[in-house]
Amino acid sequence: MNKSDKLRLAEKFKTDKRLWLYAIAVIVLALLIALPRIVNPYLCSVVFLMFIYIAYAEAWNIMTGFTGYINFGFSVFAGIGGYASAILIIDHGIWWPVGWLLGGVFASIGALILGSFMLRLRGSYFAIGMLVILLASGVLATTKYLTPLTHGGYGFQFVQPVSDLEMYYSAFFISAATVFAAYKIITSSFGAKLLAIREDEEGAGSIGINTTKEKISAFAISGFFAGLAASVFFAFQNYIDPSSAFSAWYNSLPIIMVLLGGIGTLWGPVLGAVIMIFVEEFFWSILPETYFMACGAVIVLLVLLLPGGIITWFKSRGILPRTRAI
Amino acid sequence: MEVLIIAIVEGILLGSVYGLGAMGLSLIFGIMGIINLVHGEFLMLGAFTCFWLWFLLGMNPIGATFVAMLVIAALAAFLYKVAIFRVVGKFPLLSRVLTFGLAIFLWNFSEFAFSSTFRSVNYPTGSIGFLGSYLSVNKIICFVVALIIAGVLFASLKWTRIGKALRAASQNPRVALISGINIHRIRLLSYAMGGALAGIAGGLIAIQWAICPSIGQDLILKCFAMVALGGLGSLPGALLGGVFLGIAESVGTMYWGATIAGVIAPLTVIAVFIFRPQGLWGVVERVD
Repeated sequence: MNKSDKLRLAEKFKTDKRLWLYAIAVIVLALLIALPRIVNPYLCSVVFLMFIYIAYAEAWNIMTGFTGYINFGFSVFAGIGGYASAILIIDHGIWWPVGWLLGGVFASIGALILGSFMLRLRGSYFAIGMLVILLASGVLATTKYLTPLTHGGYGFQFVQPVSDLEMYYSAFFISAATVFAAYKIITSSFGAKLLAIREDEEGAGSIGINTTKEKISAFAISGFFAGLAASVFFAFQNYIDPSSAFSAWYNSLPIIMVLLGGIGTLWGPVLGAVIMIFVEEFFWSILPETYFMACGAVIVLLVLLLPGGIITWFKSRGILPRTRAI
Repeated sequence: MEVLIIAIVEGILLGSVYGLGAMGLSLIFGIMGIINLVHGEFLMLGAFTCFWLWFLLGMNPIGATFVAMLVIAALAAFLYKVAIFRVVGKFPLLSRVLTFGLAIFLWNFSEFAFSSTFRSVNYPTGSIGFLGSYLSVNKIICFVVALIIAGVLFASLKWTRIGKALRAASQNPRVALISGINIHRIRLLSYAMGGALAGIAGGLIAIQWAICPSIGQDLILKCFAMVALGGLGSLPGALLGGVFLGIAESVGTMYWGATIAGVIAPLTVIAVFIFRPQGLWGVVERVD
């Protein structure tokens, strides 16, 4: 590069702010990719968890943020994905990437089945119903009728034939894929239909949008990514049982993250997940007993003060452009 | 055969107590359109209030139940004034998540403050013989209290001025406002009433069963089942839904064991949603 090219590049960096953004993004990505070689395994596991959280949050956002139908049963799909992948990999010896993908597929099928009757209901009934199904799934997984498959109420421990490095990069890839899928959805006509459903379902129906079909599609996509991320998560945890698979905490966690970051936006869930990881690591060590209570209080405060989340607030103030792609 | 009749009777006794709680939920939804996800925690806190009053002050459990009613009503009114009134009529998402967050907070607060050991109120009133087996008089007393409260509620809704105002507000809030009814006070009152009903139901539950902070989650599930059966917004529906669920659980436990009985409530909800979403006595759908 000769001197005038460098000058032109410097000029570009001064005038086009977006170049800075891309540069930072590239640096961050490079850092994340190289992380396992740089830092200790504990920090890696924290970042790993962050990827899973990003995927969870974005997956939940794809359903609730875009369609406005509050999915209180996120853990159902995480649980199905976790169980399906664990059973397939451990009990049937399937290769782990296929096992994980199938975990996502099974969760997606579950979403299709559940959605086919749940999504014909109005918003209130759907919200209640998903919560009910979550509680029922926990009970169902422990009954003696399903125990041969699910190993019953005590769950089972396992070590999947995956290395830590493979898990880390898989989580990185999956979280990126989820965000990318959300980006593709929200900038497409499918996404526009979903947003129309969120804003005015009757109006959307009246202009010819098949609301049930679109809702079920969003639900299935959300379920797929939830199950996929959960598969990796449980592989890391080396243990699955009904209460951790259909856990109420990991059900509320995506809600908190998305509420915090910005519901219905693309990067809101990512922001929320990143903040959440910091909060979790920080507060968990200071006040372990009151942690969940504090999170409940945080949800309440968020709804009262920042109803849309951080990114939505930025957009409403004009700090961020009000495009769908953010 | 007698065992079945006993199971049904026990179911009715239990279900009417549950039904009280469900009525509170239905009332709040009918007037404000809010699904009060904190309701389970109201029930749980009502139960604990009754327990602590009995345990620490030696109060008669029935008296403690009534005090619990007032305490939870006050709590509900406080929560309404501070937080909930801001989300009435806005996006349903906000109210659901808000009440959800409050529920998580109250639940974990109770776990923290009361610890998760099971507590039990000891109210020995003996048992009476019935069809060859014994029925605990506790349950009969609770049933009677529940019926009295329900009766008082229905009577006041039908004949007092405030009751008429409540009904008007639930049918058409705008016209009620124009007619001079103070809608904000009515909403506060109805939320407090919902809390009161939950407080009584919780106290009655404390008398009959062992309680711990996590029953809130379990109870709200049952409340949903009852309210779904009866129709969101219908009070007699909620009560009857409660009786129905009580019978179903009682008979289910007898034939299939406790684990399956735990699934009955969720299955009921799902079945109702598939076949008759508006419930058996559903009121006109609120437009979401």
